[in-house]
Amino acid sequence: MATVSKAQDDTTQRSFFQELSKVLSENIRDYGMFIALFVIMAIFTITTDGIFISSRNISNLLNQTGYLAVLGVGMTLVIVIRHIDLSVGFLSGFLGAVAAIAMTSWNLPVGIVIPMTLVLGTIAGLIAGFLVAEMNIPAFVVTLAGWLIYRGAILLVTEDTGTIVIPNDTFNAIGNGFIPDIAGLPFLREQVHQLTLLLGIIAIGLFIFSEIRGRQKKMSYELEVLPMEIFIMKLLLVSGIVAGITWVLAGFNGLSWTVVIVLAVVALYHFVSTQTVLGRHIYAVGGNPEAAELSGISVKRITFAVFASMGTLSALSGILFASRLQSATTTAGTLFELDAIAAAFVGGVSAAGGVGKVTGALIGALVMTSLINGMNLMGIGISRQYMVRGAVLAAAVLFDVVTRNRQG
Amino acid sequence: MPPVIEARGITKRFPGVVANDNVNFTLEQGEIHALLGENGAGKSTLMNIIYSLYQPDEGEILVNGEPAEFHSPTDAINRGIGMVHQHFMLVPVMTVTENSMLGLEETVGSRRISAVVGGILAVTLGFMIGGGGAALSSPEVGLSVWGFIGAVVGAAFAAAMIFLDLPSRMSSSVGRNLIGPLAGVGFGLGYYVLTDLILGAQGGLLNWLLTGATVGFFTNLRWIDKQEVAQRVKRLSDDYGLAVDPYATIQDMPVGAQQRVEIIKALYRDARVLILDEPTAVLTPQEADDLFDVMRRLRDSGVSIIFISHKLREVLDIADRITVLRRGQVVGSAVPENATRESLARMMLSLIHI
Repeated sequence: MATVSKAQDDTTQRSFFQELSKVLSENIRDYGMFIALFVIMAIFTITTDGIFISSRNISNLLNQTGYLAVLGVGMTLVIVIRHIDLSVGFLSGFLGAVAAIAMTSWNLPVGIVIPMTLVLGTIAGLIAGFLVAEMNIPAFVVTLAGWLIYRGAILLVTEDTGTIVIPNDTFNAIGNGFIPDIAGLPFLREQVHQLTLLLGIIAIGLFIFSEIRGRQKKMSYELEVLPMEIFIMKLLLVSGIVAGITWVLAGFNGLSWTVVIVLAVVALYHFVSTQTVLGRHIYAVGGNPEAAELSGISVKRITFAVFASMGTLSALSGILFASRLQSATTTAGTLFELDAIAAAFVGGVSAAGGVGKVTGALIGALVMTSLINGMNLMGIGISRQYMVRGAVLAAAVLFDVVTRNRQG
Repeated sequence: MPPVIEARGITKRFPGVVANDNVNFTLEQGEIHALLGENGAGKSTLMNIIYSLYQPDEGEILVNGEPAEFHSPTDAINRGIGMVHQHFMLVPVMTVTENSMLGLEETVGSRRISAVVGGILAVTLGFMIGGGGAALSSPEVGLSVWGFIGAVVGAAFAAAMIFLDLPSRMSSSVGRNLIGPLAGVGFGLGYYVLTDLILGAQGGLLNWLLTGATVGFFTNLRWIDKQEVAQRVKRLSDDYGLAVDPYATIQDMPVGAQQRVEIIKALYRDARVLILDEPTAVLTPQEADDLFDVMRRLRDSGVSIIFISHKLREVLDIADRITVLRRGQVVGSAVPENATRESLARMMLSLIHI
């Protein structure tokens, strides 16, 4: 992750702040989005007199981020292999409507509806993947066609009924429910969600453990590591942020199911993209398709896999959104694709291919949703909101281009 | 001992030009064989045929005396032929280690870790199926016992897949990729029949099929062991004096170093034949001399090298044997001891015919 400090005796001669600025400037691509998120949150906290950072709003914000983060994760991989998927918004809206219809009109149990919706999403992704990989049609065109088709489809299935209200409590809990609490830990008498707190503590423990182990492993292979002071500061900073979020959430209703699902998806995609052969092949195809093909990697198969995963995640996003609204509307999914693409770019994916982390997409989605949420709290009109979001997207890509040129 | 590589009567036509016209070429064990010719003489075409990027219109390639059926570069790589192209085939955003193992990833201990992931997934899915959904909305609703048992059995199934290591025992790649999901679907189907049909629980066929397939899929994911590869890259680098840091990123490296990464990548694939296509074109004279040292070291360890060039000085400097191409035909061959720049230049330009 960080590449700092060539020789040990070299580092000891520099002061802590020199070291810090060096680390920051060398890893600006990694840290930039965190800084952006922090600045945005600080600004909104001030301009809304603290309403933005309140437990209720943060909980709400994270739930709003869910459907977008899931799309952003899939979109990151699509952009990594140098393609784009414009159809995800209306595909997710359409599949949300299909799920609603399956429950209300076909009376299917929710345990069947959710897997069915996910499978339909995968099939939709495979179709796009087929047209891109086998037929060599540019992804832009394929998914633009998908955008039109799914937009038509969602209008078609909601034509007679208009908005379909979903009466199923289980389904609606996905977007609105919170994880159950455990019975009283003795040392806490306040109204806090104890399981959330416990999970937060476990997460911090795991994070510190894995960071220390990773550092030791790197050192044993004589790799460059962060200087000790900065390593400790990083641990404290991240632990502090996790602890803060946990405390804020525990003060309201605790972790929502949406957050649990999003974290599971991000963890899964992070694992696959960084630790498995499949993940490495995806990045290799993005970095240099010709070299990947010559190394025996099937570019076609990777393209199929990435578009199929995008389809599945679109379906998940549709489920999250329909569940959150407790209904399927005729306009569900509008502009999701652009927010997802924006989230991916803010999260550090590069249009040149081969670069970008799925964890970045989560941060990118948080940035985009924070903007919407904060500006709503401030009472800024929708017209200006679009302009601000556009400016942030442009700034993110500009940042990518500038820092890349400097590195090259 | 038969030649390592023998090309017999190779002819390759492109629209409007005969790139190779009845070319014969042999490469002996442990020699540096220079292929000399002007631009467009057909050197690269011949090498791309040996490397199976192109199929010849006529003629055949023999590897160690046996006719070789090559359909793709993968076949050539499997026969121990590596090629360093003029334009490097590396992924710029990846490290030396990642590039070296691309397509050939070491996956030590992979299945154990996949099993853990698969097991966690199985437990989660089983939880959801076994009434976790109902528990979502109203915490007082308990979990179905069968869902819980299913989750545990699913996890055990994932562990068993690993223990038996079925995927590795399959001979075809299709079998390797499908055995996990298929076994998983079988598990899901069996569990459905047991619980829903015989015992009257309500898991749902689709759910169990999905659980099984998902778990099966994850038992198939291969986990990369980067450190192991890095150590091997380091050894190769040290053995042949390539001076490459396994953890450096390609895009940060100078061209000469990138070229050495290409050599490492070929050696990592156990190449016994190395084709270097105009390797000095991108190098400074100093870097070219370093490359020649590497080439000599490789030759001395038994690697056979085809060195493509149009620079007479370099060819005389490094080659054990020289073959000259002109307009797609072999116009002559020589050994450096009996050749001069003038004699080679004449052959290249076909001022004399031997």
